Amino acid sequence: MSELIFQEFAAGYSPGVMAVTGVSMGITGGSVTAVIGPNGSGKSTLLKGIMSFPGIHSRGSVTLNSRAVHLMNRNDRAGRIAYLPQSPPVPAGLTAVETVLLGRFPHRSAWSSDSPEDIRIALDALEMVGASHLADKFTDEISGGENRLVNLAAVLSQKTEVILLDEPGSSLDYGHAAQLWKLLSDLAERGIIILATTHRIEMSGNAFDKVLLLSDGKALAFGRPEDVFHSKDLLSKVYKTPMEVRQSSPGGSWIVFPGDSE
Amino acid sequence: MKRTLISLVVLAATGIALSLATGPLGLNAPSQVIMYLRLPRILLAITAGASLAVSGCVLQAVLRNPLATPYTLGISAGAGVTAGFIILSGISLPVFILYLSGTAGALAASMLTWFLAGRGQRDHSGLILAGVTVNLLGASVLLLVEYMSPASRLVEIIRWMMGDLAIAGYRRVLFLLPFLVAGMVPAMMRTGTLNQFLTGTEMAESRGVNTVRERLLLLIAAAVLAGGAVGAVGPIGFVGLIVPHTIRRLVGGDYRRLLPLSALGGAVLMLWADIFSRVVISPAELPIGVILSLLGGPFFLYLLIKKPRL
Repeated sequence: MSELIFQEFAAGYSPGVMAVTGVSMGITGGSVTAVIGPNGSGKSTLLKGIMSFPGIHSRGSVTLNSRAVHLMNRNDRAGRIAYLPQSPPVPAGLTAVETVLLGRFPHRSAWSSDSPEDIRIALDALEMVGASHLADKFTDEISGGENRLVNLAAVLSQKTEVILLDEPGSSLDYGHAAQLWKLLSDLAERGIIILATTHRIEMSGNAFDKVLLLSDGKALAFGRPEDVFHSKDLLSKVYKTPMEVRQSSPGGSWIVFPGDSE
Repeated sequence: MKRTLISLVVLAATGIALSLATGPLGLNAPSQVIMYLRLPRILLAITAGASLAVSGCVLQAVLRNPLATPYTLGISAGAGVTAGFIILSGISLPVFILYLSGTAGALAASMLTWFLAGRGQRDHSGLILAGVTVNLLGASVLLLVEYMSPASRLVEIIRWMMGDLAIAGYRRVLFLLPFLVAGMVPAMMRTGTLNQFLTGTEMAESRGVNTVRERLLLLIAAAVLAGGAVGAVGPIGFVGLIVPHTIRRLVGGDYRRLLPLSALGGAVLMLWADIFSRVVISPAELPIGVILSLLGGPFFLYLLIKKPRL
């Protein structure tokens, strides 16, 4: 079972100023972890820090199965960890299936053509996200939400042990958002580690098993959702508005109540 | 894809045949005219056209801007300034040095652009802004050079800026050849990487592309290709814009198809523009740069209005 372990991990845009600090947690394969927190709390920076993108500085460590992620070479890392940014640009003149095939890049040489195996994986990935019907459409002719699904399929076709997603549900309608979180939870059941930031706890049903709560660049809480959401004072303080998160029924969906909903 | 390839090959073949037969003496020209005037001219059109088209095509992916051309990097301004100074100085230098100075100016300007833009650490819009600045700066210096030039030299500078393919012998083709190889080989080996740039730096990086290194390498390849071509034929614009966009419309945006077909398309456009420049007011010639700008201007406007995504 894969294990992603964070020890006092911090990341930011300059060596002196860390945008997110104090992340210590262990995630094992088979679970979905939601990273929540207000705007600017460091959710995206945390994911970028794990990926060691150019211009991002980090301290502490993240290890995948006891190997330091920042010491892996790019190609090795690309074979193990996939990443979906918030709003990647739409490629000009590529069809959806061609865009998904870009995710096979780490598994072949820089100019080789797509093997039948690559194409099968890409079509499977499109089917998994429910976007098979888009396969031959040009990505600059489909909607933002549909492009989101195509990009998600591209990330799946990379076939990695870890998938990091930055607000995967944004720009998706209720149906597709529900389908997305269901898919993430299915992927986790196959042993994949899923780490996804989100602003919309209520859209994810009960798809996540763990929650990391960030506030002002600090990791405030990590644990099972029922434990993190237990204190409504904590959430109200973090989001600077009275709020409460409750479960619709034991084991059911999480629902956010704004204001004092006594 | 196949249809486009076949059409381009047919256009190239008929272009070569027609170009061999075109000239004041037509088919009655002595073989020396064909071997030492027409054939080298064809080879120059093919190599320069392919270089400029591939350069533009690469830049459009790396800078993720559909309006990027070799001139976005300040290449034309750089070449114009150095060539302008040499012509103004009136020193009689071997022609070869004039080509080389154009190339050196082009490469120096693109390096200046690169450093002004924070060596690729910042995003690609910084690079485009820096390129525009370098271009404006170069254009002003060139105007100053022209203002200070005596009339005879002024004509020479202006004529050089219009670009020309009129050559005798193979010197210019041989001059361009090393730049062609040095730029074309690394670019063609990176078509898959160019595809990755289409979905942005972060996606590319997450799939194993060293974006800082690859962007620099591809920018150098594009600058070398355009710099060599500018040195050999003068600052001819728009090939790097028209060709990749037309080919993209025909075969899609996958660089594994787009880049080689753009090279072929650039060669075809240059061949036919050259034939045109020789027959319109025959036996005199129009500068090829003027013809391509007349074609390219409206095309550029069309792109601005249609706003294709990249």
